[in-house]
Amino acid sequence: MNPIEITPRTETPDWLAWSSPILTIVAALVAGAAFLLLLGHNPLWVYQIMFVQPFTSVSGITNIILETVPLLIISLAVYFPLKAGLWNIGGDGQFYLGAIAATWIGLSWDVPGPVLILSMMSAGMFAGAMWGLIPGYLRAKWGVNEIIVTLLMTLIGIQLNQYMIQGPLQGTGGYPASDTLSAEATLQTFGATRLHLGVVIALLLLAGMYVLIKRMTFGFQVSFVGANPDAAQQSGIDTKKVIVYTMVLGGVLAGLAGMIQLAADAGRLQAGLSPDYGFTAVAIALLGMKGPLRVFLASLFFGLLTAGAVSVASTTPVDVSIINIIQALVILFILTTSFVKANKVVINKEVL
Amino acid sequence: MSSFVVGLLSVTIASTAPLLLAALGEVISQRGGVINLGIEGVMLIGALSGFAVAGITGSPWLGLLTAVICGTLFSAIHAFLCVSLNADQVISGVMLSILGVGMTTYLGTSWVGKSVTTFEASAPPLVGGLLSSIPIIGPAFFVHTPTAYLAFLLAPVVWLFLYRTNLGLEIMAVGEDPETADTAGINVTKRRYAAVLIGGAFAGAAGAHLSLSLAQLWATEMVGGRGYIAIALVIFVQWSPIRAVFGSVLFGIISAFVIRSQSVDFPGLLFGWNEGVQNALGGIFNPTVMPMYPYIVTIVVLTVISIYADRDDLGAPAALLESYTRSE
Repeated sequence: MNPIEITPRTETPDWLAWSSPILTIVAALVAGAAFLLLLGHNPLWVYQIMFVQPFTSVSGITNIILETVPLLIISLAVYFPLKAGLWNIGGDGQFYLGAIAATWIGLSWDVPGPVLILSMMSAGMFAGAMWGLIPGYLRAKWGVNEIIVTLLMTLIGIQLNQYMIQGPLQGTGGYPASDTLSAEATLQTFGATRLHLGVVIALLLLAGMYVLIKRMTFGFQVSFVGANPDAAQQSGIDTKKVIVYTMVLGGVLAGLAGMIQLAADAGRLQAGLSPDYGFTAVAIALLGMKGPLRVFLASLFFGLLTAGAVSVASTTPVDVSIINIIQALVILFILTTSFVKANKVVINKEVL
Repeated sequence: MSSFVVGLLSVTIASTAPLLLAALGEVISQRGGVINLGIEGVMLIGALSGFAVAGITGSPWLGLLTAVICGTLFSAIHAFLCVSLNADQVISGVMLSILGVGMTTYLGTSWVGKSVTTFEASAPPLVGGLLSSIPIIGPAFFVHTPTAYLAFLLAPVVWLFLYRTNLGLEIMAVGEDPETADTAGINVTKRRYAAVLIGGAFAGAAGAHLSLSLAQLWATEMVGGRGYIAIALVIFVQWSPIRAVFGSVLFGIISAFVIRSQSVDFPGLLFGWNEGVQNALGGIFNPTVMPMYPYIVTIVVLTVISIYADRDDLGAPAALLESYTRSE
């Protein structure tokens, strides 16, 4: 008799299916707490600052919202191809391409504000789309593994950003960064708050994604291809078209996120514009697999985590890199719970 | 000019070593059917643990040993998730990278800017003195740190391991066709664990080379994408440990150019050439453009492999990325 007996489940119990994202996060926080304890910090104190303190002030809540905006948009860029069974782990590359194109337009065109913003958005979306088109086309045409290609395209995108800020788009200061965008090329904020147009755009995109997935024929086709590509092909769906379109739309979204983060937050092209948003989005899309609303909730959680980690880093000796650790732990437990969802694990106490 | 060439060749060898070490490990792992996208994280763990132990004990050799052990243990997380829990290899790898970055950034803060006893470049033992006295070739190829020699020595060792030992052949069998291997009595789980763990040991050593030989310091995220280059490299050399030597030298030349051309005005060396040629060469050898080449070349190679995948087996392990569950 084995000490641990594993049998495949025929179906996942309802309670487990619904609670698994929450169980996942709780498990990650418990493991994170163990790490903090090991280093001699009180985890309850750290978590209190990380998860409760941001809610106690207007500025804290604003931070959560602002951190959520780019995460939500990039996560949709991962979520949508994932619906078709494709991994876009290259959100960061598409993000940088969007930011580069937007910077170029924002610094060189002399047109009225709204036109300039719209042009920057279009340029960002177009550049991101190109970065999504390449892996999408290669996958549809020759079956080239899109995971590897999107990863490599991200590395090229990050390096292209390095080239731009030390070359064609380098500003006058001699730093590896572009010039600062003019006020006209910056996204409007609402009244005296720091909330900008990007917040509205992110929510509109979320609603749009909801309608696309739940109400539109193309959305159904995407889900069908993701669930069973062979059956989808036989029922007359052009799976190659679906592959290319979903990857391009992913690129469009991530490119737009790059433009928004540039024009609302950073104000200039520079290194580290994305603190690995593309990888975080992989975790968010996994947590939110069941629907756009869950993607939103997961983005909000990671937005809170980021905002919270910043306040932890400024008020305690705990380094901001704790976010990466908790983020990795969340993914680790997603993988573990999906195993538990698929298999019944029984521990035989008598043997141990 | 000759000092520039010697410098460039020497830096090429030193920057090839970590790529080669990591790629050799990844070859073994992928030959066993498990891709490890987390070697960036594993290398960081190796770099930091090796550096810290060298700092505490004063022995870079103990540092290297620690890096190998820590790299093995850290990649065990990946093996557990992918092999035991049948988790998605890509996601698990991404997780491992993020975890490695997070942990080393966190734990490494106190080691930033510290100097410790590192490996010293010297002639290889026995015949080394003779070899290193050869003009140009001697100082370029035979004055290096032990980890650099180790990387090049390990390439044929990995080849022998894969093709001439039972364990190696069994690892390749479970990466090619786990079902048949299982029927033949090979424990798929154990062999895949072995492949991932050996891969982790190599990545750990690659990390130690970075912190104890190449850079001789610890800096946050110092691996700087070399883990991903190593993955690209494995595809580029089509899973062959011998071709990995040539592939990593090629990618190593690129990193060497990036390192050297910042201190030497490379187009300036071509003074007297036609201005258009000078500009073109300046663009091609631009240190912020060159790092893109390995990635672009790899996408092209991957595409070519995919186009011809049906006609000819180019070496990709057939069961790569697939988890294996015994059907009852």
